[in-house]
Amino acid sequence: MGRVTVRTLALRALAAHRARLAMTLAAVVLGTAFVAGTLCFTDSTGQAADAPALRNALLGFAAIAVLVGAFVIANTFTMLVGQRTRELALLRAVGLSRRQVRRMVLGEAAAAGLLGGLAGIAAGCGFAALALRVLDGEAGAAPVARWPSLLAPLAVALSVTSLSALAAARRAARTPPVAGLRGEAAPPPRTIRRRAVAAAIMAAPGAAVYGYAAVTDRIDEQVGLVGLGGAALCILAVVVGAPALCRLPLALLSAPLARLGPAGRLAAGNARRDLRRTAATASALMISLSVVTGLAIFGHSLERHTVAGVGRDVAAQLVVEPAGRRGAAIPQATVERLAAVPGVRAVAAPRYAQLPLRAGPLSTRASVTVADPAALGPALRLTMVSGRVEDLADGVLVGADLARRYGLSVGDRLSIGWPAGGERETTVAGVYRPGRLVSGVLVAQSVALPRLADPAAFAAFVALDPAADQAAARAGLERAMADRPELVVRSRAAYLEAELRGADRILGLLYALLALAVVIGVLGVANTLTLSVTERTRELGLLRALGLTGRQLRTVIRVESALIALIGGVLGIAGGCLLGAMFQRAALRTGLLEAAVPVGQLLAALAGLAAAGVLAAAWPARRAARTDVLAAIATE
Amino acid sequence: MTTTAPAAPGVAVSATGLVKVYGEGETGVAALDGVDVTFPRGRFTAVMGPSGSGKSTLLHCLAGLDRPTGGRVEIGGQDITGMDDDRLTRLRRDHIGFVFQAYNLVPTLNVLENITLPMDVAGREPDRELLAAIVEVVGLRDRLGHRPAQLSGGQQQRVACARALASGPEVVLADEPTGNLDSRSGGEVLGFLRRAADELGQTIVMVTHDPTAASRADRVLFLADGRLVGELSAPTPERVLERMRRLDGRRS
Repeated sequence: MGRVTVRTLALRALAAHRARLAMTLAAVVLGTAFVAGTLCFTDSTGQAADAPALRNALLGFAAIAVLVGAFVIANTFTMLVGQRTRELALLRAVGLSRRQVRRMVLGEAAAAGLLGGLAGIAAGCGFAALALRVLDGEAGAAPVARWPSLLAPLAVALSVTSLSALAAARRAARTPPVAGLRGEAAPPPRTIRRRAVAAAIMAAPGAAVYGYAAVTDRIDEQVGLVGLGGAALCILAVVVGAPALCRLPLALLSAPLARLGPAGRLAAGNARRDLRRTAATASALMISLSVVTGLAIFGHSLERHTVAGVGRDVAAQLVVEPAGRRGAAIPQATVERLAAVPGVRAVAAPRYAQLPLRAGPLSTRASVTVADPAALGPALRLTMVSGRVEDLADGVLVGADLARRYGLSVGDRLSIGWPAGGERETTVAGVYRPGRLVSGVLVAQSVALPRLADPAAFAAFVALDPAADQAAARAGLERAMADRPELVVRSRAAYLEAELRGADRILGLLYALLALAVVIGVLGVANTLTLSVTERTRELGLLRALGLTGRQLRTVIRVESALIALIGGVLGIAGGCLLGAMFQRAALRTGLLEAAVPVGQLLAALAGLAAAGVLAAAWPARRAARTDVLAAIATE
Repeated sequence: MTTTAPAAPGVAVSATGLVKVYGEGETGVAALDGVDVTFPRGRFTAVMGPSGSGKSTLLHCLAGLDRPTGGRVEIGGQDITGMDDDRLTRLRRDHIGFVFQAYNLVPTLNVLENITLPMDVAGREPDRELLAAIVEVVGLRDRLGHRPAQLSGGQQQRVACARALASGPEVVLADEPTGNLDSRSGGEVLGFLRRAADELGQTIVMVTHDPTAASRADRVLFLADGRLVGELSAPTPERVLERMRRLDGRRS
């Protein structure tokens, strides 16, 4: 007979409760897999993607992945240790010190974290490879995994399991041994008010900042970022205050649920029983759903913005641009050849640059658009606020936003620092409303082209003579750029479609990642329910003894699950609206309320989430229905 | 409970040749070894016996919670031994009231919801008059909106009794209903059961190991080693205790 040590106890405890072990590992594996998968996916696509913005966005999602994964693991672990209060109290009663109990629980947590973490990393990388193949067929990005991306998930798994186990073990160690052994060891009443106060403290600056960014007329990237930060702070406040916040929807929903009969009433009661647990489960869903919603709103707004922008700004009948988006450009020689094609009235090939700008005491960098004055009107429409388009010959035109920010008006002097040719002073000849293709300081091509470092255009907008035959002109254009096989001629409609497709591809990638987050959140619901079903064996047995049929009991669990999912969904969509409205305002420089909210899609997502909740309840519901009445009501 | 219900004649529950064996073959242990017993309608019967005598098993078999190895159980004239799980569930819901030793109430439901739960799940309207009368007698009228956690153990047990009685079941089965209570609360619960038998004509079967509790019944049955070994009418605590001592002596 060996000596019984704390380690023996920890190992025995792990081995004795297979279901619990499986549950813990499942949570850790899922959470870690999600984090690892996102990081690996980010590594691989980040290298392939040309835009650093996309990479930053993906990293943002990796952070969300860490958060959601941590939530699922922490929630499961807290419940698992909470379940064992009696067992731990018994150990305390027979003479284990608090420290020993804590060490035992921590040992278990570390073992589960390590095992689950390693399995999760493997699963996550596998999933990322699969997702890359499915999503990115044409680009064919190879799965790449860097060391930090492999170690970070493990660190997350270990630290989250240990921290949440520590919190739960502290609670268990505080339980007086006798109290734990007497009857049902209820966890000590948890203070929800403290969390509500903390949430309010977080929400106040968040809301203030958000409000500022929402109403200020000086919207740019910085202000947009600040606004998004405000939204994130508000969402985090909701997560912290979720136990208190959950009360309201639960109270609202319990009346109609009670009308469904006793099953509905029982389900509502169950969800309300441990608000912290319900809230934590719903929070994982909420975080992922709010980002999905924000993205959907952004995507929707972007689409509307693109359609409106192209309709308003592009007058050209044909557009020449690279077929792919990577690296290709149109040199000036080609633009000139295009302009010489019979039937072509004008070609606008705008160039863009960020250049130093000085006006009086002001010194800054501003975006500069270079265009052919002759093409402004026939190819690209320009709406003037003051002055005329023709005045471009006498100086520069300034976008209305820039004019307002720097207090510029017609007649003011400003100087632009050119990459080749030094600084050059000029006059503000007019102010125009910035659009999709022309914004910032607009400079005539004849002035700017010799002074730009890389005077290549990314698209040429071709306006035809009113009498010209479009097909013939198109053939002429194609002949003129025969030496440039990477360029294609598109009709205006095809150009719009290509613009929309580009945005769709990026959004599609992000959606796929977030769908994964939602799946993890739903699995978290299944996890929570399975655990609470195990916890409530006696109560379920009592209900069976009193005459609830297995089917009725399954309904109780399903309704509870759908309820948690719905709460997560509603809160998530609310947070997502905050996020999405600000996101599109920052990116598109529009008003907050101009956000396009895809109401139908969001309602469908909510319904889908409720359905997923019911699905997630399948296994715990079956378990509940099969509760052995005798074992459950037996008084030991 | 001011109306005196007629003590309907006949048998509420009966068991014939009831055998329950746990395990198989030579290692099998007979918890019930051929029990024949009838519980007349409207009577309050206590079942006593040393621990391991099979009294809880008898109660579980009568309730359809446990399946006997042999013999049959009839409730209100229906043979329940061949019923499937769904029919047994409905039987429990509609014809049996339960009071367990502990953990009788659903913590998320308030007192009134707990009392009406079996009828609610059956989709039946409770008998308002009966409900009001029962609530009055158990003295819970001003606590109907409370949650179980806000009640004392005795109060909880009284709610459990009210629930068991409220649907007007064929029989109330009580498994050590006073086992977790102090003597005063226990006395209240027993007084309540006694009145239910007297005034409502409620059939009650109570398993207990407490002679004082058993003495409140009309009749006490004694069980030992899975067999019925004696019966006592008009019991007093002293006579019950004396009989129990003899049983213990026989065993040793």
